[in-house]
Amino acid sequence: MSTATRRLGVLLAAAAAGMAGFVALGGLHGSGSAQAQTATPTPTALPSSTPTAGPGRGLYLRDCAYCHGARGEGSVSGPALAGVGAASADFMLSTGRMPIPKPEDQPQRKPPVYTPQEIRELVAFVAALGPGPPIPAVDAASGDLGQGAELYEENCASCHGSVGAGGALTSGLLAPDLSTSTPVQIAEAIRLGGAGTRTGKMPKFGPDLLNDHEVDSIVRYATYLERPNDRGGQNLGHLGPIPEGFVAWMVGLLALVLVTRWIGTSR
Amino acid sequence: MITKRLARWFDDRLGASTFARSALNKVFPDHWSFMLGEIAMYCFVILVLTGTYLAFFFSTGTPEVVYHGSYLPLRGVHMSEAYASVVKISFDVRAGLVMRQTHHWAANVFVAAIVVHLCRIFFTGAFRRPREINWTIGVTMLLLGIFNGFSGYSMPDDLLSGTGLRIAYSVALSIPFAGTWLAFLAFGGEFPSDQIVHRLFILHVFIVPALLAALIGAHLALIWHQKHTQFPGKGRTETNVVGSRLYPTYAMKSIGLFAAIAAVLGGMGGLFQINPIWLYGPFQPSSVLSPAQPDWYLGWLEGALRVFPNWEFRAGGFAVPNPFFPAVLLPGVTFGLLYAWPFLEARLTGDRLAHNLLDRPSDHPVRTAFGAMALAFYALLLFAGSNDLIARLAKVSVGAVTWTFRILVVTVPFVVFFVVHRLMRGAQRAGPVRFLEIPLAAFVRGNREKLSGVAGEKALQEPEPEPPVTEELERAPGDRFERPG
Amino acid sequence: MDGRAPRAGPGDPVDRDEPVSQAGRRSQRERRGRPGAVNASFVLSAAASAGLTVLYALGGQPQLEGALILVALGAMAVGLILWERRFLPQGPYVQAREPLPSTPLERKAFAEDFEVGAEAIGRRTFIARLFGLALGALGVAAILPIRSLGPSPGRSLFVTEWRRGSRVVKANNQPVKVADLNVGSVVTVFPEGHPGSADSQTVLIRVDPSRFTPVPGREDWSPAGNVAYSKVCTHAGCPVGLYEQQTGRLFCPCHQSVFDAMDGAKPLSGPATRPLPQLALEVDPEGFLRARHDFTEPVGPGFWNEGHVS
Repeated sequence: MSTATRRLGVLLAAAAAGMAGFVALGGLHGSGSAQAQTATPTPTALPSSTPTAGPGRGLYLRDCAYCHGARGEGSVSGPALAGVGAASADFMLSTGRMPIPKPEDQPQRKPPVYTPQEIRELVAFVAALGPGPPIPAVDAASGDLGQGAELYEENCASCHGSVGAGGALTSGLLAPDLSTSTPVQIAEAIRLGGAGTRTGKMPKFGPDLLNDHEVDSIVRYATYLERPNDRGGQNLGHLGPIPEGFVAWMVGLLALVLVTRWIGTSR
Repeated sequence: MITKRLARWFDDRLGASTFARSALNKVFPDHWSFMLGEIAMYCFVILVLTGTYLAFFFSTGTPEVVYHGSYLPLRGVHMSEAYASVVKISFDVRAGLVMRQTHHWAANVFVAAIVVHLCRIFFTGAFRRPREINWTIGVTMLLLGIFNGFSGYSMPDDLLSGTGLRIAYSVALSIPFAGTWLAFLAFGGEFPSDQIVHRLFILHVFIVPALLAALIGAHLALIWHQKHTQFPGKGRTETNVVGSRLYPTYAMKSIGLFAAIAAVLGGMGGLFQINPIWLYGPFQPSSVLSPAQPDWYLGWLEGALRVFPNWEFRAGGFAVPNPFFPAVLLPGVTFGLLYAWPFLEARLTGDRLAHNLLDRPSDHPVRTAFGAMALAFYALLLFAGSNDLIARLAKVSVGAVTWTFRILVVTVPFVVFFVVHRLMRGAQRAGPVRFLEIPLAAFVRGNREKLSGVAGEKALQEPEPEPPVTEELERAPGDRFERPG
Repeated sequence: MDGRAPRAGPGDPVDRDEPVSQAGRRSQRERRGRPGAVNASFVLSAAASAGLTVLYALGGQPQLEGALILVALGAMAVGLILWERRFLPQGPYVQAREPLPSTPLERKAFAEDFEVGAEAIGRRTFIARLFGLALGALGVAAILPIRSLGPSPGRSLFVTEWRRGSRVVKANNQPVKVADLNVGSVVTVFPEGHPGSADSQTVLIRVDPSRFTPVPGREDWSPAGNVAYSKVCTHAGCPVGLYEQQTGRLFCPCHQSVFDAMDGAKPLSGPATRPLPQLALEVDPEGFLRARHDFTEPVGPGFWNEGHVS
């Protein structure tokens, strides 16, 4: 089934279930949730008392509680969300990493399932589950581009590549490409560690390691890397000597060998 | 009119008319594959021209400066003078970036052309007597070209090339007995030293180009004196040369080729970005970026370092560390074999005759198969050097890619040997037929079967006696067919 | 073949009236060719060169410069090659290939002359030997300046800048407190006063103590889960810059060695053979992290006498 069709099915099922849920107003679990495609998560018990009500609650209970628990206490399929804070929820939802089709996979950036308004509501709900880091306040414009370049080279380039194109880690996992990340998302990833996931590999850079201005600078430089200065021409994917060698042989030498074939005889 | 007077003026002082006449009329075989070496030679010319220009702007200084040029993301950043000068060439010198990129593309194509030329020499047996000296010179030029490429891209002191220098230092350290002394003397101390950029500069700009120029001169002089080889064919024998005359035809072909090379390299220099060091950042010994690879001609060494298993020797407090085997022993054996090949082959085949006619690859199946095997081996190592990139693009683990290459590197070359040997024997059997028209049965029949028929007799024969020169071939004016005494 | 007398040999004067062969005259007459494309090529080349001049005057632009160079020189190449193919004598021409080796007579003459000279020198064997001695001694003396190229390795590879009590600082020389890192954080640190030092570079990570297995004897080297390893890869010296905080792995991007930071930085895969040396840490009364002493083994890649401190 294609992604588009699946998403449409999700929305329709969600709409139907959500309406029923809202009408009932009492902690009914969504039965047609999209996440149940392949995984069969352990159903959680009905809570005896529910967290603070809010518009995000309904969405949460419908889509997230299956794996993360109605009170964010976690389950076999998903980590506890109580205490992860608004930053983690915002990062996961706005980059589309959550909802995730298979909990055992590495969360990958995808187009987000929810609208910005829905994301805000969900974030508020998760933030209320327990105290945790808020969404960082980022001001990329006040960052220093040169300082950002230096800090990026020291801390980020080894995993994410010199131009933020991403890189290979061990065991088949990847440090992702940064070109579609917003400033807030970059700051969240820096501050969260593991990018807030159980399997996340990214280290955590707290305020004692990188203060807010330094984060602003890194964000400013990473944003610049989305359109780096390619004054030299075709950038060959910014992958360095590998494509350069390929072009030297397949463009340069090939052209010249063809010229010699034209100039010289074949017999 | 003027040229006549000019010629007279020179001749009065040099007396070179006879020599000049024979030079103008000298016949060169002009098969297209004989021009591959010229591609390399003209790349060298472009390297010298663009390199001289760059040398006017490059600074070898390692003291730290703060950048204030026009590339904004590096403003205020601390970097060495060397790095700053290259950023300046790239952004603040008009036509500087095109010069720099043309230089780097020319370096990559230079070594590629040498390799392709080496393959042509190898597979046609042109290295045989009397041309062993030229082969030796050629292999030396390959070595010098690789060295100069490495030193060239290490001079800007950027993060990528600095990492490569660190690896080179470690490889030097790994040499038994003398390794630490070698590294300390070459670099001027512990890594990173503040001397290395300057030392590389002297080697790169002065010593190696001078050696290369001298060797190219010797290489050409030997070709001139010994005359170029040629493929067997109508009217071609071991005792003549058939082709076009140097003047005006061959000279114009060659100049046209030079213009084409300059066009392609200059075009690439402006249209394809290469080594954007401003994006890598200045070298810091405690930083690294990924993916990290050297330029292609060192890719086989990089691949060897990655796939060679974690073996090393240690006894009694002494060690032969791991990098020694893939990065010192392997290239030592490689170049040792390359240098020794003409003599090795002469000994193994017992063929010590002089040859001016070239082999077709199918005339020597073992040599051809061995060369193909070697190419497969080094190509696999080259690709193994990009195992992290392959892992990322194919979404598999780096370990899996590494293990795959380990297996491929020890199995595929033998398969290639077998297959190519069969193909060449089949071509021999089929005789003078176009390769693609050879029936498959010719390849399948076992190798043990004695060659029969025309092809078989041909393969066993001595070189043909010289046939009379036909009317279709014009004698070059001033040609001498007889010698006194 | 064409009835001519044998040609003059090497060194003989050329007969100025010697006729050119009929065939030669025929080929040296200009061939019929079509000049249109050749002319157009050169005109195009000139135009592109003019364009380059204008572009340069206007400030230049790399891609345009590249494109115009390609056209200017490419059209030149096309023009030259077409000119050659269409208008210049193609041949093919044949020329004799004289045997390379000298005749036995020539070789004998050379050998005799050489012998005469060699004998004159060599008769005085004692002089020759003394000369050999002097030359040899001079040769040895002449290579002495090479020794000035660098210091003796000495103990340099066995020590770094870390000392007893060196405060741990970041690249900007700011000291690091024991509580500065969160679990899962990583930072590159140096001994105070030597930020950026290549051999002292150290990776400091904060681990969850429940997942960390200290090497026996090093239980007090990692206060509050702050573990420090040398950042110089023991394979070929690259900074081991990638830290995977969830699996606790240090990954070197150069040749893909993987080290287990939770277990003494032992190599798990890749070509590295030795663990990353660990730096012993302690906390001072103000809460700053300090080194107890230098690394207890040489950092970085191996070398011949690594087990013998000189």
